[in-house]
Amino acid sequence: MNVLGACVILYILLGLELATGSAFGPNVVMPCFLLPGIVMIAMFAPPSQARWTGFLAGLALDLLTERNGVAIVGPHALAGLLCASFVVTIRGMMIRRSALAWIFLAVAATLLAQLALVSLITIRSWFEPAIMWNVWQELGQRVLASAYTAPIGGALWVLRGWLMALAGLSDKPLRSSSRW
Amino acid sequence: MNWNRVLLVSAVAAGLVSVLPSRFTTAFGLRDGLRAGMVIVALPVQAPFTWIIRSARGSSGQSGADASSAALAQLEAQEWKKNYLTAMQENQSLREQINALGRTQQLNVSFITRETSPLPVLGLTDQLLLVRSAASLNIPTNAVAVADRVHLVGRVASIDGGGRVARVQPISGLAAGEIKGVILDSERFESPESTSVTSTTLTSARVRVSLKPTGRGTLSGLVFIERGSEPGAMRVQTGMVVRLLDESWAAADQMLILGRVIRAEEAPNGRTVVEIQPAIDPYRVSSLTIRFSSDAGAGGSGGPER
Repeated sequence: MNVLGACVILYILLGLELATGSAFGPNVVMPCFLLPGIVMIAMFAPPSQARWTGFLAGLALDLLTERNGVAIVGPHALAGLLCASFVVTIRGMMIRRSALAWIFLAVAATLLAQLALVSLITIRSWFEPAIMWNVWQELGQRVLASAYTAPIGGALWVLRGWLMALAGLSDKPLRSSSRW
Repeated sequence: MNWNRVLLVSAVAAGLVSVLPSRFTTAFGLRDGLRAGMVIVALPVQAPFTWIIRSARGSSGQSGADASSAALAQLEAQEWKKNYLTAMQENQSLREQINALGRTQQLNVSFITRETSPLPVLGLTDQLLLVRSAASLNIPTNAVAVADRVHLVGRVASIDGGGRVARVQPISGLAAGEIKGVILDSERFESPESTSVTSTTLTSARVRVSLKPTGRGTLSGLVFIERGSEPGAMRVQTGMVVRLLDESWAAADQMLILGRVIRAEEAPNGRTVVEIQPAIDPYRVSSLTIRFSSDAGAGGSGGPER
């Protein structure tokens, strides 16, 4: 994997994620951009690199977002790690050239990541009420956001030729899982 | 180095940091530095996308961020409006007090005396008002309590708690006793609910009244004509202003407002009987000003000469 190329792709997707969040506000259902990017890299990169990519990309998002003035570092990082681990685990079962596989993985991995995110911030909100976290509203919004992510997965599939070349990814067979 | 193990440790650390309250994690000064750095790094890609998205949306709708800003601005506007109206009300009240003070001083040149700032009324006990005071004020017993600077409320009956609480006997309380006043022909309250007085002149005709509390929050008594005045020169009417004119009260307190005439009837013997109501109900005031002469206050517990 070309680390620099992967960073450029994730950097652009991170910019899109932040820009949509900034333009539409916090209470609008919006597709995720960064998680499908992590999914794409996790589909083809070696397991360790895929997990690190998910963790660091999520950490970057953590550092750039806050909720009601409270900076919460960690949930996105763990969500990104979970997302990458999930893809690494099941990618062996997927036809990775298929658009449906890209879309399914984007939606499923995003859903899993969002569930982890909601769980972590819910626990945090018990100790820090200033976050003003409405669990069910957030859960509903994020489940819908996962569904909205399908077009992003599709768009990445359309651009896969350029993106994979840039990130130095190839679709030759890889191990489906690592030790942990 | 086993990078998988490092990742595992990092994930555990991230899990802990994500659920721990901020007060436990602010010690990691690294976080704020990283945040600041990341904001700078992300800005070149975030700003153009934000601009493009906002431009694409154009005037089709207000963005969520804008909507929340607008809601915040609306709340602020309401807060400022409330503050403005409060200031206006305070301004109006102060103007009325200045006018009332001016009029009262016209009627009583020795009106100005030492007085406290408004003191909060804590409550009521045995028909006496409990007023928060301070030992340093040296309020004497028999000092005069007024509301809005010129409306007589009562007299300080006692000072308790080492000078921290003053008990005020309202003039309309049954234990207050007789009080004498004067009604000027040309003076009226602006309206039945108003505490403002209009058209005071020094040359108007006047009658004296001797009032006693009725137990209903009012005072009533007979009107009598001053020596040298022409009988029938003045007819007492409702809405007229009754002021203090009583030799048993200090010179500085003369011409304080006792209340408004709410009833004026002719008795079978031809004398006029009036009932007056304090313009400001002594039992409903929230703060009082205590007036007393400086020499009396300096003495501590001694009362003023009355």
